[in-house]
Amino acid sequence: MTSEEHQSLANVYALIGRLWLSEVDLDLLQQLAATAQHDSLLRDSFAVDESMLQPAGVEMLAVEYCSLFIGPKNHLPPYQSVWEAGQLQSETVASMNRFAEILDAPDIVDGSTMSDHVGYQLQLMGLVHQRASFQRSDELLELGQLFFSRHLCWQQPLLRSVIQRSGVGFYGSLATLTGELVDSEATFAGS
Amino acid sequence: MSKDQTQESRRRFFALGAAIGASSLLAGLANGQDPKQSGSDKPKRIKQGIDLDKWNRIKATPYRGDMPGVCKLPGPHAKRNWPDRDKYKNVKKIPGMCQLCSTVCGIIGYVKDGRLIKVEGNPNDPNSRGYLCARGQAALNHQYHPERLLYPLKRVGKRGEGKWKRITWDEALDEIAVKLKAIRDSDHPEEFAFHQGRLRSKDAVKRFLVAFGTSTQLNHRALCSGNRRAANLTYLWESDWDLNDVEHTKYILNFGSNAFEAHQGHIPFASRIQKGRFENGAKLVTFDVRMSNTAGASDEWFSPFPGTDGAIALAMGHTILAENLHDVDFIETWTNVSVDELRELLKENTPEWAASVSGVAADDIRRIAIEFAKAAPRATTMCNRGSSAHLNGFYNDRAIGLLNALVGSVGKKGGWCWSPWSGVDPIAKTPPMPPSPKTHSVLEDPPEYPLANVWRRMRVGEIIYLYLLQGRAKLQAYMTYNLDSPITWPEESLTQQVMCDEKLIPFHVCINAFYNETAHYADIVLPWSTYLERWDLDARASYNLRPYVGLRTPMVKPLGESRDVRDFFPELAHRIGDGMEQWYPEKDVREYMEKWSENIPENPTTGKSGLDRLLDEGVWESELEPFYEPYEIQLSKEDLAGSQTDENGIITKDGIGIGIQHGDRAVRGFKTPSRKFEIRSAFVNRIGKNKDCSDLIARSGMTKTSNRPDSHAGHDSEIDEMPIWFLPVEMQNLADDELVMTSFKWNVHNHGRTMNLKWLAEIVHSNPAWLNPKTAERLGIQDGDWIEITSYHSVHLQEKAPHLRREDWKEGTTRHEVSKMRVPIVTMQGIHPSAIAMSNSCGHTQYTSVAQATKEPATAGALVGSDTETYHDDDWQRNMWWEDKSGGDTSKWKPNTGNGWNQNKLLPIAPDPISGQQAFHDTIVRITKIEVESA
Repeated sequence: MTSEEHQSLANVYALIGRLWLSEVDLDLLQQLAATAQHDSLLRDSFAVDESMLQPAGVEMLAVEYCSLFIGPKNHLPPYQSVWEAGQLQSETVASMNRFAEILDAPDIVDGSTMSDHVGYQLQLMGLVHQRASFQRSDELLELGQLFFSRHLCWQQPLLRSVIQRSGVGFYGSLATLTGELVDSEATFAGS
Repeated sequence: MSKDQTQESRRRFFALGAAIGASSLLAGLANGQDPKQSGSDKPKRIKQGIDLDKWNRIKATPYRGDMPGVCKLPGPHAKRNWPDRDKYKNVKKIPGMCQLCSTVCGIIGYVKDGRLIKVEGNPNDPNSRGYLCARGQAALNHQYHPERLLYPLKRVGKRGEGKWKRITWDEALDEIAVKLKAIRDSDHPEEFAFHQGRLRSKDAVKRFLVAFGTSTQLNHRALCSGNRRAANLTYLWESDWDLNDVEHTKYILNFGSNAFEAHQGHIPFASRIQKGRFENGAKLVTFDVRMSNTAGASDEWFSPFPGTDGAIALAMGHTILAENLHDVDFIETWTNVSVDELRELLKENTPEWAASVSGVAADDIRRIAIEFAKAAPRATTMCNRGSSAHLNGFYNDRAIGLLNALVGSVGKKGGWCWSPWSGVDPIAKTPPMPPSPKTHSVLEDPPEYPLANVWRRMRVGEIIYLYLLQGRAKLQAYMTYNLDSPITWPEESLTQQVMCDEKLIPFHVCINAFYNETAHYADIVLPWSTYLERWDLDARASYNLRPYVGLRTPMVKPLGESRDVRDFFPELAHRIGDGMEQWYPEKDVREYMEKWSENIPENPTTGKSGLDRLLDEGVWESELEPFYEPYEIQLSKEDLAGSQTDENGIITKDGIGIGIQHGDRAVRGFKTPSRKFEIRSAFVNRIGKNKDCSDLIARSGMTKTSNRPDSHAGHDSEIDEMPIWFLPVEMQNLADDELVMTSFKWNVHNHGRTMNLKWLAEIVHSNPAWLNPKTAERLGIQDGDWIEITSYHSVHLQEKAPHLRREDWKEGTTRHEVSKMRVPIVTMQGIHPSAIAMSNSCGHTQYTSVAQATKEPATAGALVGSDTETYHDDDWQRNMWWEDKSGGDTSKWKPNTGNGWNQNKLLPIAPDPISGQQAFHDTIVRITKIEVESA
């Protein structure tokens, strides 16, 4: 992979991770809409229409985000621990914290959002690519592969559930896009 | 995905990445940062370097991905290799205190990598002595439940619709502060009500409420043990809690207490009962309508007609006097009645009379009374909700307590004891509190219940929603805390109706760790940290009869943005302002805890004192002698200086009672007006009629006792000054199709807060009704059949408590229906033929998918909770033991009956007219068999 390709993937992981991590605000939605005009994948994935670019639209997305990922009931907690161990804060968190420490991302460890949140995992993968864009080494490649296999390959059940709930809505699209990204990267790594 | 597809997909992602890079989408967004996180004004930039050396050093660290969890806990066939042998290597052991029931046993948490991996009993805890029940073991389910509340939420739909959005703590506290400030600035601060369930941070809640200026602090005491407490207080005044010295006893006479499964003293009490039995050969005799696990493990079990415990006790008293086995000296010296008066009182209460109302054979009553008296003074009664949660519960418990006085076991080693302290006060004084507000609300002190708030603030919780509906009280803001009213309080539908009504409750803030049935009707939900993540000093009534104090510590960091009231009440007080903030001078919770525990003495071995010592040991116990025979404690010269003695021997100082002359000795006596164990209570009779009792209060020395305030005028009640007994009118002649519904608690659950814990829900998650086979046969019902239960309001209360009347009741009708419910039955001998029993804890409609036993929302219908199509789990699917007919053959397991039924749908609001205790065991019901298809 070229440095540019690493940086591009870093950007994608960073954006998708951000969308998972918390509700979108009007500013971010507007930028998404603007960027989508220049990118077909984004345009195909997120139909950010005018109604969403209103306070009521942002509020509606916040309610959907809450209903899907925050709760308080029948939600889909976006944490690896929940989907692998059926509970919050399993040993996965310790593993994530170790990777975050290596990748020098202390906010992931110290923040109130648990570090095995799918958004953090995507962002950490982005950090690996960002680093790789200017630091080529076998160790970094190994770290990236291990991180990917341990912390990105679990997500399919969550993504399927989100798509099932949200359909072609904003978060269903996010789940679809995430699935495609992880799938293509996994296939690439396997090849 | 084919190679070509992969390449195309990657090409599109590279293009997207380039587009993102060219845009301002990532501006200000640092990787690895949650932009919504509270308190982060500006995103921190993350250093971009990756320490590959560090990676090379630690990359070999194994990561074990699979771990048993709440919802994926392995089934019975998958537990062979679990847990792994290295699990407890390098753990840090941190002391704390459990809070999954009311007993608050000392615990130790094993913490590894910031994660709690095990909880066990703390052997240093003098009350629980290192034992921990099944509930306590399920702490991990509680802590790491995948559906825990992690963020503040604000309602966006209609109340009760279940539509929410996440908000920040700043937003939540700002909104709450604005509302509360407006109420505080009005003339009605009492219209801010705080309603708690199980509370173990008393000081923190009290500080906030009194600083705010409201005394409308509502509790659940009336759902629990109000009558037992009122009966004890009538005898003792200084304590509402008898501590039966069962460890040293020879005979335990148990009236309806299920100490082996529940009870406020559960583990400390049950373990001492067994020690008394195994080491002293103590006999345990239980009277209980239902064969609880306590009854089943007793030496003898009798199943009396519901609510007749008091009759049996009086008949035993009659026998003891008739057999001249009473303690003449104790009665004549230390009670305020004579033996002759007692003979007169009990002359009609023969064993034959008691047998006629209770169904227990007169010979058995007589025999057991004699055994009990002969074992004295190492003999004690014990009771709790089984005898007290009745319409005649106050008198039941008065009658039971009387037996101890008759045989002279009061305060004796191995007898019926108590302590004047019930919490941490004697050791650790809380930092200075604001002055108490002088507000009044009928919600916190309803005038119809004369003993509810006399000695202790017991409240009458079950009438709160009815009074709001009747317009007898108004609320502007309602803050609930660890409370689940719809699942634990009678008349679920009325509770839901009021909680849903924004006119009756305009603003509701719910503080809880889980989204329960109360949170469902909130406007703002605040995620509460668990008892494993927060600070408290705590203690319960000590069965060692000496004060102790334990420490609840944050074993792990609170998950998500959950916070404790100790942490955010100071912030809220600062936002409300106007002086509230002055009561929070500490910089943080730890500083407050250091002040609070500064009197904990030094451990000579470790040199540590105060909070440091508690952090080390988890608990500290005083070296005082056990509180035996306190009435014999001699008054000192200093005590007696300037005192006066009246013609009855009562010693007062400055008009306040301090003791009594006992022969030639001046002793402490009992802290009652007569300074004796008050079998005759002039006080309860006078307070019931709202007469001035200031002279009695002064002689008792218990000067915080409430004289009847003016607000109670016009609400006279007749309370007999002697222990008597009556059978509520609806019980007197049950029709053939009528039964008395009783309730109970399992050994793995509390009332409403444990059904979300998988390890416990695996054991009990359903509650078919118990019916005696004779009754079932009479009604043409068989084991496993479904029945429809129709419940009725109390006839007794229609006369005694007309304020409970509903608008839709037809004149001239005595049976007013509460509700109907359809349940399956299980037939068993362990239930009185006139009773039908259902356990509580079950039938959640919220409180996580575990409590609902479903992954999907329950659908409407009579068989809700039976949907086996939507939930599959081996542990869950297996029949409960009382349903299981597989004979151990797993291939013959049949599906369970779902998550059970909330019995409180059927139970009417039924407070004992004296103390306000909810009569959970007195509901008259009719049952009819139904076909499942028609259900």
